[in-house]
Amino acid sequence: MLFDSLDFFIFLPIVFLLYWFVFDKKLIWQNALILLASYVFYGWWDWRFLLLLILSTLIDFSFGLWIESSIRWRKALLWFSIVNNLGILAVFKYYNFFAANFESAMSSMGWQVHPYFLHIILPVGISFYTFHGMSYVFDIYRKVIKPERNFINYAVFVSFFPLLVAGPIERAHHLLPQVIRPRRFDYRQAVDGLKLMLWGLFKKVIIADALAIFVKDIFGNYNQQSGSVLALGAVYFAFQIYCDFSGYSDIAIGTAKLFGMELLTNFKFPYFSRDIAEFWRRWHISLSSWFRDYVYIPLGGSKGGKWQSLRNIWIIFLLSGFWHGANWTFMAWGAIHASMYIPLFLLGQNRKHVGEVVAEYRALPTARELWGMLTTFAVVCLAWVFFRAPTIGAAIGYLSRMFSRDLFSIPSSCRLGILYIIPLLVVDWICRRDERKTIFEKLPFTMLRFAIYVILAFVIINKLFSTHGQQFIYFQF
Amino acid sequence: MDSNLSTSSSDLYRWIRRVAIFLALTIGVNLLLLILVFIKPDKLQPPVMPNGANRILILGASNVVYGIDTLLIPGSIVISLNEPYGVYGSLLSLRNMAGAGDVIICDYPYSWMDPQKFVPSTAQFYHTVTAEHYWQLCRDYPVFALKNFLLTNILNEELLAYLIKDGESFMPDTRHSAPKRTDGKDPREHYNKCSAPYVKAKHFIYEAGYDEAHFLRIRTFIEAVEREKGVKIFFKYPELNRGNYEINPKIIEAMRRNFKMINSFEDWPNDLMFDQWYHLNACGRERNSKNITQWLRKNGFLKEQD
Repeated sequence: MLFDSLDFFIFLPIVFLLYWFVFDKKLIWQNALILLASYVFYGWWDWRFLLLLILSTLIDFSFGLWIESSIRWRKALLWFSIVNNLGILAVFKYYNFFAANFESAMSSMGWQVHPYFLHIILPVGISFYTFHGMSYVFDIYRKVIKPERNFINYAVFVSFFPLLVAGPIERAHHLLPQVIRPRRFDYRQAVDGLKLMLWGLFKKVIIADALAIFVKDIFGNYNQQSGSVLALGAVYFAFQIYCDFSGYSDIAIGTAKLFGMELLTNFKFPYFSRDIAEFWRRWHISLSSWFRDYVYIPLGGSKGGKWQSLRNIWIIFLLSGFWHGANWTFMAWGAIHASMYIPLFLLGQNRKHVGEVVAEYRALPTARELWGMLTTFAVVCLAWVFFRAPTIGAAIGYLSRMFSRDLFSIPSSCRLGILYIIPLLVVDWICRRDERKTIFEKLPFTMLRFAIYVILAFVIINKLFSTHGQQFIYFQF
Repeated sequence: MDSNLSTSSSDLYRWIRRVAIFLALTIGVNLLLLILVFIKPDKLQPPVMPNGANRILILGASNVVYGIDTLLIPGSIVISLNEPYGVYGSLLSLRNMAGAGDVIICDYPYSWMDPQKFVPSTAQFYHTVTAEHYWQLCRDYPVFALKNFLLTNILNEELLAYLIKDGESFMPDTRHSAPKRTDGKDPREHYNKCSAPYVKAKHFIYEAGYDEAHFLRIRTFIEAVEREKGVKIFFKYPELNRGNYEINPKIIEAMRRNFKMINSFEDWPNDLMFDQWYHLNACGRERNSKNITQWLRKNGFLKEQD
């Protein structure tokens, strides 16, 4: 079920009313309802996907208990669990990629092999829920949390429908305590939730979907476009994916608030980053912090000398790329980010902008900050070309045409997309100090705010039901 | 009940009340716009359709204007209704103009087989059918009307566009003869010069959404018209260039299953295409028209001497 579908707009109020009015007597009933609703939400695509989700949930739930109760076999059990989770990912997401690459590698050496290819659809959100499960098992192994002994509670943590298919990737120590704690309806939280949902839908339905049309056109016919239009295409994609994914995260976080739960923040205005290190503290935070906590730090992080640190940086960036999909383009995307991050790391500049936003106490950035933002954004856009292109060759072709003589000419077409970006930038700039508040909350009068929300809802509803929407990009991951 | 729970419960009711007001206002704005559209006098009238009997009517979009030569199909009338009419609008016109003994060939591009095109967006639909047609739609397809008409069409961004642009951009296109559309300096020369290279249009193929119910709706409707008016209604695979089978296999198969087809799927070469992925040039038109004539003769709808 899509967040921007009619089905969801019927589903959500039903679950909400049942949750607070019918199943509110006991926590376990509420959790059972959430679990059932989550399975309906997920099975809406294809009920067969549910079997894999339940299997994955059962495996991690069991391993959590076994690791806790075992002293001697803890490490072996942890590895067994990792192999299970990665095995599921490898089969459903990466098998065909490996098989195809194996085939072409063999054929380049003159050996003809014919590997078996799986004819299966990639289950929606598989990378997200396997990472949920892995974080749970890791945390038990590291004794950060105790295993959950009630399967329903654990299954809610893995399958909670707002985050099930595109995150944020939750941590057991953050979400599980909320699942097992009695919840009361909080007026303020629910109002905030709706506002976030509205803003998320606006970003997705109005901005991302509109930009998607330009992006599809430009990337689909890049051979016929001028350099400046291609540059515009890369910028549009940067904002499309930002609005699409951060819009999804906002809707997820907002929906969770309606049920009395708080999810992790996933985006903090990444395009205002002054260097690539800051970008990664602001973009898809739940994934980058997951890799930091469960891969980078266990590998030794930056503690084991320069070469080991460099190796670890490469590993997490390449893994981040590979996590997005079985294609070399994603690896290239990760590699570009790693290459931009490493100089900062070597110069000791990678933690220069921690915990503060650009122009924190000023209305406008300094020239230096502006330069930092623009260059970081330019690099990010270049990397997005690899992310969006179907093959490395297409990405290189795109960039070669882009860096032609007419790069600095006035784009001959597709200029209208800028109209979608400028208002977003203005709103984000004003709100950059508090990522969970929208600009409208800063307005003085209640009635004015209310009127603006009505207009926003009006625009969203009209757009939503009158055109073919675009599927959320991150569903495929 | 303790005081905390009581607060929580009253908060919940307060929240629901405010959300309900919020939604009512949002829907209210939509309804207000809709009323404005309804009270606004229509600039355009539904096209006047020719009445008669025992004719050969060929119904389609602009593809039939470019792709069919009425001189090569004796007694035929080509009726082109463009996309704003939608399949339903087109079928309603068909019902109105059909006379006893007519042979009707529906030659819709694949894009019309997209369920979203059954009733296109409100603003376009407003001008092409009357209030009576709305009522017919609700009677003919109550579930469809509820889900796709009320939601897809009344809550519609084009409502605003319609009001702002005063309906001008939704002018329907009805033609009964050869193309008059201008396409560059001298379109006719290009059209008639079959050796002129086909310039591939940007979107040369259309991936239509598929829904079996859509076909069932159309089939039910045309069967009713056949019984009611004593006509024979056939369908024809449109004249499209490469790639359409690969991209629309389900649609093509569904057409074969649901309709009486006069031809098989054909991959039209580019040298018979004009300026669009669904427009033939003069040579294509000749071949297409001859094919139809042959079929009509073979099936006894045209006499050999015609």
